[in-house]
Formats: sequence, C-alpha cells, structure tokens
Amino acid sequence: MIIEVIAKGIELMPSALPKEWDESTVVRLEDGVITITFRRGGVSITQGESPEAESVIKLTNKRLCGIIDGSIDFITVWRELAEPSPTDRTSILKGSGAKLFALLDGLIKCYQSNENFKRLLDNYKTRIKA
Amino acid sequence: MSKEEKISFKSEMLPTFSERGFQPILERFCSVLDEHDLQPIDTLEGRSIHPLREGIENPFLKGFFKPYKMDKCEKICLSHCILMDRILVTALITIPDDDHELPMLVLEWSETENSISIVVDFIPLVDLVMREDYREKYLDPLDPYWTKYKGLPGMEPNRFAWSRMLFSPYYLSGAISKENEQNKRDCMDVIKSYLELWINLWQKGEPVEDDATRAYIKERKTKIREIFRANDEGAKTMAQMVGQEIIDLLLLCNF
Repeated sequence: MIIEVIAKGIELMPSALPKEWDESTVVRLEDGVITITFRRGGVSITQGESPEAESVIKLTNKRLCGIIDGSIDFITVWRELAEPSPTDRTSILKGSGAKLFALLDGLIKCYQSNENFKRLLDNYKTRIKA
Repeated sequence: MSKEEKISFKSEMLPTFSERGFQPILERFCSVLDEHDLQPIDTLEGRSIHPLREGIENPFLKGFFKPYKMDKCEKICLSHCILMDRILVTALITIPDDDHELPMLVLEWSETENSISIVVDFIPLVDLVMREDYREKYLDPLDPYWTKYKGLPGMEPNRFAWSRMLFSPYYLSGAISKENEQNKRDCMDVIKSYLELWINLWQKGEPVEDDATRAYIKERKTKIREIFRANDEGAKTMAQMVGQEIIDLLLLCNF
C-alpha cells in the first residue's frame, strides 16, 4: 500500500518543519485516504479523512511516486499544486497544496538519501506497473 | 555541495547558485544592468525592504529581492532565489515612472534540473486600440524576436487569464526542456533580446507632455500592481510556507 510507503518516509525524512504550523491536509489516493497533520514541527499520518482538514488534495498513486522519485519535473508539480489555475480543481479540491509541499520536499530528500526508503518506493512502483 | 558562487554587481556580491548546475541567468542580467546607474531602494510605500535586499535564508526560500531606482523608472527589481532547493527563480521587473509611458519590462526565469520556464513581455501602459502609435513605437520592435522564438518547443500560452489580459501581443511563455544545449542557449537569448531592446527604448524615452496622459499612466500602473499582487497563486502558496510578511514585502519589491 502506498500509505505504508509514505508513513515509512515520514518516519525517516530529515526535514524540520516550522513549529507554528498546526494544520491538516487530506490526500485522496487510489487505495485510500490519509490525513497528514503538521503540528509542533512534526508530521503525523492517519488513515481516513479528517473533516477539519484545511486542505484536500487528490493524487494518483503513480503520480505521487513520480513526484517523490523525481521522474516528474518539480516545476510541473509546483504548477499543479502551488499555482493552480483558479478554475482548475483537478488536484486541489480544497485549500492549498502549501503544506503538502513540505511533506513532498521531505520525502524527495528521503528518497535521495535513504537507501531503504528508495528500495521501498521502487519496489512499490514495480508492483503497480505489474 | 560546493561552495556558493558569487558575482560582483554594484559593489555587492550576489549568490549565483550556478554551482548547482543552473544557467548563468543572473550573470546575464547583471552584465546588461551593470552599465547603468542603479541606486538601491531601501523603503517602499513606507516599509523597509531591508530583509529582502540582504537576502532570505528559509528552508523553503533562499535568495534576494533587490529594488533599485533608475532614471525614468519608479523602480527596477532584480530577484534571484531558490524555492525548496529545486527551482531557481530569477526575475527582472521594471516599472517606469509616471512621466514615461515606456512599457513595463517583465522577465521571469524558472529553472529546474530538467527544464526552463520563461515569461517575457513589455506590458503596455496605454490602451493599444486607442494608441496604435504606441504599439508601433514600443512593441513592434519585438516582432523579430517574437517570430524567432515563439516556436521553441514548449512555448505555450500563459495559463492565467488575468496575466494574458495585461500582456502585450508579443509576450512569450512556456517550459522548455534542457535536453539539448541549443534549447538552453535559446532561452538565454530570448531574455537577452527582450532586455536589450527594452534598454534601448528606455534610453530614447522622452517624458510625456500632458497631465492627462501622466494621470492615466499612474492610474494604469496602480491597477496593474493590484492585479499582480492579488492574483499571484505561487505567492499565496509561498505565504503559507514562509509567512505572509515576507511575501507581502516580496510583492512590494516586484510590483
């Protein structure tokens, strides 16, 4: 499950986030929904959709993997999640992608620096291709 | 990571970030601007912009925003920063003063490991339907460059209607792959061509003679500024990452 891969990435990721952040982002993926909570400089992940979440974002599993392993150009991701057209609600269903970016940043760094996480994501990608 | 590289510009040392493999776009801007008298601006609309002049160092944003005063211009802002360690954003925006109807120059360069996105334009400060002479004098000289570069692979219309509404008939935008050296050279050349032409027009720029035109220019610039500040989606997202105060100053510097 992609959710297990993300949870592992969060555990391993090196980024320190601003302590004043207190916000949740829901990510709807193909094999489930997760709520990512940013609080006191940390990140936690729970299964399911928190109704209080400030932002709701929809991504395919393949796209999320492509963002993390760098096969999708980061500027494309920036355009889609940070500079969406006001009339385009394909990915951002509510709020903004700002906080998700912090998570993606951490996961990308983790993919580049941690062999275990890289193997985990690469194996998952191989499975979804098959 | 290798040591940060810097270049000298107006008695300052500016970080280029070229050690990360980005194109020497800041060097290109500085080589043209270095020939002209630019005076640093420290305060805009009553607010100190010192923190942005000196440089920001944030986990999500690193770089500087430096507005200058230049003859015939209200301000010219040179910015050079990295978003999230992955996107280099370099921009030059010039806003003429109320006495000159020169178009606003907008040059924006965004570069990642794989691609270069550009937006270049001379934003007109008059109604082009009513002022064909303005188009002929200030915008039509762009035609050879627009014709040459509009077909670069990756050029496409800007996504935002509010931007296209402000732009001239000669704006160019798009995301060009860095897969070959020619693409990189072409992107640098588009920027250089628009910048040098604007400098050429600026050098010849004469003050407007009547109060009505002056008042119209002022009003139009105010409106353009409002539109940019209100609609920049990237700035709204960044505000949530680095804080609204920094982004307010950043928009103040640019527009």
